[in-house]
Amino acid sequence: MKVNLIFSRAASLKAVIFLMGAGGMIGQLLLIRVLLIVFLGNELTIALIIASWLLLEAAGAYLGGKITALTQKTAALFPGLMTCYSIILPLTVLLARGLGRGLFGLLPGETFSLINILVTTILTVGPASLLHGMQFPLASEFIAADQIKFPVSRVYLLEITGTVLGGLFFTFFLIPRFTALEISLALIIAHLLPISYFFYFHYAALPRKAMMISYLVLALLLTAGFPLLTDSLQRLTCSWFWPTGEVVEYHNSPYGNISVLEREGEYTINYDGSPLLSLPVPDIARLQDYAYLAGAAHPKPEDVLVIGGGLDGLLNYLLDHPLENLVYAELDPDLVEIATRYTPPEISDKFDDPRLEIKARDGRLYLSQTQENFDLLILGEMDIDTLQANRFFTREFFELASNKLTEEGKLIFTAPGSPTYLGGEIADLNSSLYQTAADVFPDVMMIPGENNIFIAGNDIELPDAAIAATRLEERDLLGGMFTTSYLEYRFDSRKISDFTEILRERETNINRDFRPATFFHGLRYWGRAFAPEARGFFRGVLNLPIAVYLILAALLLFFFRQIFYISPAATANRLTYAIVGSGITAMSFDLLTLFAFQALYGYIYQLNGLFIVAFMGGMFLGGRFSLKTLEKEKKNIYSHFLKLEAAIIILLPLFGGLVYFLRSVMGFFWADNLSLILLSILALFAGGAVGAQFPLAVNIFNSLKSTSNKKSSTGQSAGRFYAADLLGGWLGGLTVGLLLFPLLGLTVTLLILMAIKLSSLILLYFSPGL
Amino acid sequence: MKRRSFFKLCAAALAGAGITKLIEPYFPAWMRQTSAENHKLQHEARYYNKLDDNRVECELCFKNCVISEGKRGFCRNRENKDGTLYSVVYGRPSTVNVDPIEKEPMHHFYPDTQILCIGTAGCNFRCKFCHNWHLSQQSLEELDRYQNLEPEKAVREAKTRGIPSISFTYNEPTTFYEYMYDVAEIAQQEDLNVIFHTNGALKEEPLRDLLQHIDAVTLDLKAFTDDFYQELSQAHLEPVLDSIKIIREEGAWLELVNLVLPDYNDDPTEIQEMCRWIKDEVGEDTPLHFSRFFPSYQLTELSPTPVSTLEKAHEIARQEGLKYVSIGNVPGHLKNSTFCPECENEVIVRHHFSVQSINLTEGRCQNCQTEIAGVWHES
Repeated sequence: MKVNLIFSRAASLKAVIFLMGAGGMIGQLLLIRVLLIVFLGNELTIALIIASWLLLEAAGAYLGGKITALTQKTAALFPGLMTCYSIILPLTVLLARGLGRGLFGLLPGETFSLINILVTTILTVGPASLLHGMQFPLASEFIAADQIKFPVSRVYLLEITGTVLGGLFFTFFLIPRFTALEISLALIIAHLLPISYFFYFHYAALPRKAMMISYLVLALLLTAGFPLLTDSLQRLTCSWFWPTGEVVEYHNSPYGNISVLEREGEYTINYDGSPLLSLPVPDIARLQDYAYLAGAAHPKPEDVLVIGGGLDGLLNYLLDHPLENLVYAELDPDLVEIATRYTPPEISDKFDDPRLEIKARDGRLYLSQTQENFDLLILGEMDIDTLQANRFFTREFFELASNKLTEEGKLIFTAPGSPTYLGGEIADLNSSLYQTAADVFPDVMMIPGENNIFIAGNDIELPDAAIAATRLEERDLLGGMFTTSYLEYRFDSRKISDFTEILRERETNINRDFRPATFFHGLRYWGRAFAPEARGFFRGVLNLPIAVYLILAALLLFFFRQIFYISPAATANRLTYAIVGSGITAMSFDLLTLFAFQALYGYIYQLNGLFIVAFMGGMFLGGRFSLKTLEKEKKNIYSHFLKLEAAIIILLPLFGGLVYFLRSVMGFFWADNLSLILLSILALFAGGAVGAQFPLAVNIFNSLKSTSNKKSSTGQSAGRFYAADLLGGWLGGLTVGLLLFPLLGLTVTLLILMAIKLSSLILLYFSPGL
Repeated sequence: MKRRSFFKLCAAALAGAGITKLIEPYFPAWMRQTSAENHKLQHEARYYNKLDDNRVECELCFKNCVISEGKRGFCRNRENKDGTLYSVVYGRPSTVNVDPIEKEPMHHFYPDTQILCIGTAGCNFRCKFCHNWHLSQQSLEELDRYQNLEPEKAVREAKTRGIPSISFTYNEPTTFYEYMYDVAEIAQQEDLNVIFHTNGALKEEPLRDLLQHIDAVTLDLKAFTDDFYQELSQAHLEPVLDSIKIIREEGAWLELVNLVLPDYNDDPTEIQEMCRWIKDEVGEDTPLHFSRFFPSYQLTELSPTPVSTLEKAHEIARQEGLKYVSIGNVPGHLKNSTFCPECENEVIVRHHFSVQSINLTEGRCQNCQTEIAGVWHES
């Protein structure tokens, strides 16, 4: 019996379907990591990659469904598609790294524009996701052929299981240990073995032998050549990507990718592909300027906290001031280790200064838990166009900082700037920061520069050139670059006052944890440099004559009327719309949990994977529960579906309430673990409600087909709903992650999601024939 | 579809659109419908030819844009309206600042003084490494911020603030030629120094005309290959070299800047050829600044220039006979200062933009009395 469980036709099919889920998730996460480095990405690029994957996977699922209706040769197609998918992954990695220069003619060091990003994403992610999407309906058809009940739902459950475990395996085991090429090549071997096992039970004798032997030989060859192949390909692709230096270190930490480039005995440390540190000679003009002006902001700084971005020399220059304690919070311990290794002794010796204490943890969490108060709280330079960084520039963070500052304490941070000009996107970005800080601190000033420096404090005295000169002189730091005329130039009162007026007058939103206005402006600023054409497009769209809006509105209404009222398949369409809505909600829920948790506890960024697992686990349990329900009862299926719609609507405000509650207890003992547990439980329930809908929807759809005497394959109905689910995910990823949440905030986003689900509930409740 | 349903549909669409219009004022500023700003074009451009079909051919820089009716040139600043070419940015600087002259960089002309810097939108190059891209790579409308400052007012501003020099900088002054020319002419009458920082792409006639009112020029010699100019700047080397020769001929003080980008223009042979050319064509007294690159604009993935590359370039330039070579963007580097070519004494001790001491007397090295090329003032 035991043998049958493992060596049986059914077990072999289950194994490959499980692999389909695991391989899909690993492939998706892998390509996100690879493309993120290639694009120097932010959340915008992550959303674009995921969205492209989901959209093309949906297209694949639809296509797969059509294929099952046309041909019965799924026995050949299904394993063939899986094999192709696994082989295409390493090719995709190569393509992603080579396409920039090969196709677009980008120069070494040149950043991808938005158009380049879109085309590269489609070309790289496209084939893999299309091939993966096609597998689902084919697998369903396979199970149906074995006369197993509820084939689509069973495939759905098995695939989710694979997805959850694949995601966990990738995040916690694969990525900290192996390169993208190693993982993708190992994935081919991981596909070849179960597929050859699948051949044993599903193919006739002659092709079976030939196929099994060829697959096993290929797996053997790949295993034998694995070290040589991965090493040479890694070197080759690194030389494509970084032709201006030799890659002497390449390391994946749990938080990002760290690479070290050597050129003429000097090193550049890249983080996620972007130059972060230059050694042994850093960007002195920027760093010393920042450290000295920050130090001069306080009459006698003793206790100082620096959050992130300190390893490039900022700490060294701060230690020039007569401080007593300098605490440095750096999220990624691997970065500290690697940076120390490549820092020359004359700089790294300062890391041994007894006044310096390096804490390998998230700065915001450290600040919320420490009992210390600081004279200066300095934020290192951060990429402001990411949500991960945005959490250090919100009103909530500024409030926390304000409470941890001493009486004359100052919060100091930088933002992209220009010493000459303040207008357009850069003005919006800086205004958003200024107004947010001014909402918390009585005094805020900005010193314009290549990076604008913000100084915010609770007392009256902000530095000017004379004050700064006196303070630096007292500390024996006046001299070198810091002459009185240099300080007069930096504290040019006329320029500061002109720029401040712009910052005050500009119409902008306060940046909040759950309404990240600055993140949105950061994306716009990024777009100004890398997608100038997009600005024209949006302006063009907004300037369209009203007649065009009228026509579009009329067309939309007409379209809805056609598909939900006039069409013979109106009820089926309403059902599909409900699944699209659930897809939107599921993706939004994932993203919002991720954003919320990141805003609160960015330090366990890695553990965000747990929410996704909880959510997917919930989907599995929900799906399984529905399957059991379907096996037991034939009636009331539709009423169950409606209840689930209502449950999703109720869970959304619950989520909002929980997030706000968790923020209010942040900083209390065990609050981080409590957040993790409560949000995971909620994710489990939300996933359960969404996951339970899928089998029910397929069943209701099939019953509709049987009443209408229309025949279609199992694969077709699988394709329809799988595609609908993914399409919803795509819409949710693009609109919620990039537009609704940053622009309108958490509460309004949740209300919109509730409205979507409420509309599908109403449409279904009043559906004729159900 | 029944007629009644169609009318209902249209009514609903109308209502929807009407509501959108009603609530539009409450949209954030960036979403609101903005009518394209209609800047009054008052100032006719110089150096252009009228062609048929109301087209014009701009003769200001080497690009020679042929501009159709209603369109603008490559620089985004010169617009053809009814067959007449106008300067869009005349009297509309987007930035007016006071900087130390060392920031240009300009080391041998009135050191340790201030300059009133004027810049507008636009540029006739498309450098992927531009560190002033916020200004240079946008049009006036895109910048959404400028001030109205007539030439007389600009000069008065410098006089009132006691600033000895006006500098046209930040973006390429060629693109606001007429404004620069008029300010320079008045400034000269008012005994102010006039400087411009250029990419050197003006054509001969406008350049010679302008130089009658210019005292000093900082010119970016970005590289010494046409490939570099084409690939990274959408420009050419030859016009730049011509400009350098013309500036020298006309007698304005000239300093050259070479921003060294790893792998692009740091080849020792190329640097050697460039230095040899400078010495042969414009003289060994021409100061040359090798500047360190840091990731900027569209070249954000390129590593900063190794300091050793700059030091090698400095060594090559000195070996080729150039007398005044410095290294920029590396504060604290010894070669940031100016040295006497004879006795190697530090005649101007400089730390980034800050001048520590000037060891010159009437333009001569205080140590060996060698005359140091430049335009000096009583400190």
